[in-house]
Amino acid sequence: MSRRLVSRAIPPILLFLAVIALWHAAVELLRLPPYLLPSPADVARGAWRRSSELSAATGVTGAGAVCGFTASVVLGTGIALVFAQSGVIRASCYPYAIFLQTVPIVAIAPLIVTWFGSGFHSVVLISCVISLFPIITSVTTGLITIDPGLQDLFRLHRATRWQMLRKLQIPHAVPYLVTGARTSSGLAVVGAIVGEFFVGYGTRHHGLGFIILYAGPQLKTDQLFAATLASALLGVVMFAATTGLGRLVLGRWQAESLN
Amino acid sequence: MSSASDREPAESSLLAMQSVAVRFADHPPVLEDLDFAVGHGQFVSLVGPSGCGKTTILRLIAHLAEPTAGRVVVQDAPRTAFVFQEPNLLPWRNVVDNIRLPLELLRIPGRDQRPAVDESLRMIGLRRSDHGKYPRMLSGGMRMRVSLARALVTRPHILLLDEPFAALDDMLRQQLNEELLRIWQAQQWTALFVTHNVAESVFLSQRVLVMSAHPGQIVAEVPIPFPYPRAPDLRGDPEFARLAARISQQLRGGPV
Repeated sequence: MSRRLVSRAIPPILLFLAVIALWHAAVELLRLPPYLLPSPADVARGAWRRSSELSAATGVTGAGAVCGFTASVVLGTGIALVFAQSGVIRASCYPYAIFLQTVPIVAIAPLIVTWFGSGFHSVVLISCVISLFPIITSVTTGLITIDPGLQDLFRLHRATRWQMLRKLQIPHAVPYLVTGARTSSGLAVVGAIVGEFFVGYGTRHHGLGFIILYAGPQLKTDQLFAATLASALLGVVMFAATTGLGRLVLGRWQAESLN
Repeated sequence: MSSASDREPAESSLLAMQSVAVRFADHPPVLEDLDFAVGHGQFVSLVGPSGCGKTTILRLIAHLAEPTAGRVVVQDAPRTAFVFQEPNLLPWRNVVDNIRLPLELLRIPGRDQRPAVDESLRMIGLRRSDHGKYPRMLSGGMRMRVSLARALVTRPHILLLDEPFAALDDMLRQQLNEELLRIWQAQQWTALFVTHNVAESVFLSQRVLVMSAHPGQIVAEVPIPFPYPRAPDLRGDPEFARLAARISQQLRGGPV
């Protein structure tokens, strides 16, 4: 187990080191100005100098993303349970669910701010909207694509609709929920950052989105890099946590299908 | 006891097909003019080419399908269990919880479930160390055993078996056939066994119904006179070979 983990971790770490080295070499050899491309050392120094601000901002963005993600899991599962009840419901509502995915989030974010004001709740809402769709589609698929043989088994014993849902459809949909949640976890971080672009919490208490938005125009490129890396790291942590939670839930019966 | 109207006066059979047909629009009939009866505690096999409607017959008896014409008469509203072609186990439940499922669906109280599950496990000969395993950890033969145990857990009157051992290798199939007969003799349910393996049908049953396809019809009925219990070496008996050859001949549409 740990040997497999090590053999899987080594190639990406080597690649990371190679990119850092190449990046450092490019900055040194081409004498690039730091506002265009700071060297890896500059970024690390900048991140270190502002580490308290950066970690606080990561905490704020993380809280928004986690709340938005949780809301999308709860809401998306609820919507999927409704969708699974009938083909008519699915046929009439599905186009509007697709709308959730196709509408550019930057286009509706200002609208959300107009309607709900600025503040944490609007960041959560934007994060939820952007991460909702994968949950709806995957859970709905899990609830309705039941093997006909298993349906026969339940019909043979005169299972009620409720027994069907509770003992067959919902357990069957759990791995699908985990798959959808893995996609959603990354999207929730994107949603929280985009939300922060529009909402902003003010200068004293702000998230990574705020830093990214203001570091760019001020040519604080090292800070921009640091904030970008922090948000990427946040996404990875959310993804890994969701995957781990999924393994825990699926336990022995299907753990090997998650890689 | 069921209502008297369900009973045919001169018949003591547990289940009967009376002029049953199953048709779908624009297709040749799946089943046409089907008549047969199975008595209490009998072991009857249905053999026929694929697409002859064997599975449909089992589904009619289990009320998973309805006939287009004719009547499917099942007396006394008995408990019916079905062993499907696929084990159809729930991957999120371990062996014991899979076997328990029918009792849960029938809302049998929890304290009454355990003895039935235990008896089923004992019948099917599963080791205690396998009880907590999940389906993906089991071999094909073990999955089929669990599926059989699940069917037996409701103590059925009628057991419908739809090519349950078709996916298994011949050694395992023969072993499971012997175990199935042992359980049948112990529990005395009525068995309707669908297969396209002629030797299997001869070894197991008291009577073999031979079917043709398009439309699905019974073309011959072959009694198998061997007494029970049947030993494995019955398969080497010349009379066994003769009966098997006769059924194969019927399947090819030749003369008796």
